Amino acid sequence: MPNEQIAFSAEHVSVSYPTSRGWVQAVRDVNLEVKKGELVGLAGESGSGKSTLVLAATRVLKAPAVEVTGQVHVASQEIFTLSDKKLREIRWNTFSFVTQSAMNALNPVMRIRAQMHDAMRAHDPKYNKITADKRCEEVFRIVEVPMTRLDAYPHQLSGGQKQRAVIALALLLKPELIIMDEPTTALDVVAQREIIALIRRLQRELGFAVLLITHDLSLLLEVADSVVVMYGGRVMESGASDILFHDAKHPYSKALIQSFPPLHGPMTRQEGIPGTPPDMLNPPTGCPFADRCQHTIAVCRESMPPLLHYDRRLIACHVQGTPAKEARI
Amino acid sequence: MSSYPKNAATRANEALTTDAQGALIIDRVHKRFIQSKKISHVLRGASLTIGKGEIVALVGESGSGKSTLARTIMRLYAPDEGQLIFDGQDVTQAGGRVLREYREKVQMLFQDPFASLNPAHSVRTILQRSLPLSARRMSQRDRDNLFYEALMQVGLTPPENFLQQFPHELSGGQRQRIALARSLAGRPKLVLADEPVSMLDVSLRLGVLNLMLSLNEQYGIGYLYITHDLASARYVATRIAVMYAGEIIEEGPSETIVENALHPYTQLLIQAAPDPDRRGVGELDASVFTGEPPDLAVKIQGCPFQFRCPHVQSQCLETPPPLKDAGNHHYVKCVLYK
Repeated sequence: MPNEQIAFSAEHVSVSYPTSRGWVQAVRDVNLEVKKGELVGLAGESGSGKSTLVLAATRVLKAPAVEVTGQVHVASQEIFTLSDKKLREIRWNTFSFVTQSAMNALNPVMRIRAQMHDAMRAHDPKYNKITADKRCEEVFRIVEVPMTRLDAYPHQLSGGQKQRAVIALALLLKPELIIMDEPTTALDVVAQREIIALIRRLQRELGFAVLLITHDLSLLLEVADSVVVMYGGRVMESGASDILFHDAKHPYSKALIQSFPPLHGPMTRQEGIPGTPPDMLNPPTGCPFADRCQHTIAVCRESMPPLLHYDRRLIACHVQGTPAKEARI
Repeated sequence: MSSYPKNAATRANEALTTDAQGALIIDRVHKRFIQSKKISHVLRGASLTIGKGEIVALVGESGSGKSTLARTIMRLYAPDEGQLIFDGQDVTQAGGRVLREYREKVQMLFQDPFASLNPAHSVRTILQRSLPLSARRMSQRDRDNLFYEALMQVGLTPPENFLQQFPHELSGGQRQRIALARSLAGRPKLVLADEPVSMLDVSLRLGVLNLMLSLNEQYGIGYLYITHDLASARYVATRIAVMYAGEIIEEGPSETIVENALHPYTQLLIQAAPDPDRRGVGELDASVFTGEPPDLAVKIQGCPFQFRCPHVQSQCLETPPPLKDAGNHHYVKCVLYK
């Protein structure tokens, strides 16, 4: 599906892990789209498959460790059919990655500058030592870390600086898309806010798209353009974040939003979500949320509700009314 | 810290509870650590009172000394200066039997339920270890009944299914409930909960917080709820104390702190907290977020927040701001408040 406006798209992506007890179906038939320049949030609790989805979609996870089906396009290139050489070329040039616990993503025994040179040499041979140095200094200026820190070792940087250095690393080859997996989870509220503000500002200035994975739905609802809510390896609901915040329709996304006490306004006793997520070794044939949902009807346990278009959003739920039009894909 | 208008603990005590019974009074506690020949002043005269059956939230960023304060209250660390008074008794230097009895009444709930439960022990053994010495002479049946009660209290039913299990068989939420049950087995008056939900999945957090609230209502157990999440602090606590660089810089009723914060640091924390309601109201302003917490190994003259404060004045650099009463049990350490 080559579309100039799309930075990242996943179509019918399923990912399974082989284990001694059978296949764990971590991601099942997920569709997802990030438009150019957008910040899309991918939310869900642990085990919902959000990290697995992006790791498999970027071929970081590959056979025989996982079995992946479906299609993924990054900037109009189909990822799963690329040769290894071609994949290496588009990695970091077209999309880059800020991994989970980015605090530990830096090599502790290498200076930051050397790690940045490594990334450039691996993915873009046209850089020589001098031009690479220049680029390193440029990106450090962009993320507002003192230039002297380029020759520091990771342990000499504060948490916030380390996080900025990892973002600088991701920016090196001017990608169109940066995938960030829980980039701020280990940080303090204040440092987290600084990093998110930085990402938003860089996006405005440099125009890259961001796919931001986090469990902090209240943060996403505030800063993201749109939000995708995953549960049990499936997309439950997706749409613009203001629509989702004020008027979530899926019982799971509603319950998840309700799991965050508000900072202002009247205080009421809120309930979390009772129960535990489904066992992905034997995922339910029906809706994965059926066991924890208050609105479950018979059909929920029999078949998985398809992801359908409603007014300006996608919802996968049997209990919803008539969709606006037929399924998109 | 000579800047207190009067003993902070007495003040808070007068204001909030008429009887000191069952209250924990932390009075100007200092704690220093020696790290590679440098002295870190981690607690710099922290004062706080937790009334009987009260829930107080302690908010601050990492490195502000929140956990050190909790550990000092537990007497896992000996305070270098200051006093700890629980239920009218000075426990600052207590040892032996007095300390043991104190630790029965004041319990701790740790952040990470994956690390705080011994993986080699069954739930029964884990709970058994927490029983007061006086209860060790109970018969096994009486003890089991006690465990059943504790497990039911934390919502793990049927309890007999859980006693035989090992931590790895339980989910994160269940483990944190076991840790809570363990702290309850000695029938404590006060539980120091150090970020009890930050390691749990979002969908399970409210469950544990609600459980803490209902135990408070039913059994009058007080909490010191340590967190960096202001929204959840407002949700569980009646009072919020904000900690910065080892001292309490502002405290007051939760609603007052969130809606009408006086200290620039508290205002910064509120601005930094995620808030979907703010969407579209104002773009993220990166310029207000500057600087990092001060180096505690260097002696701070004046206000500890001077290095980051947008309103810093010359007097802030010289003398530490005194604690001022802003009315309605709201106290702040800042020269801006007149």
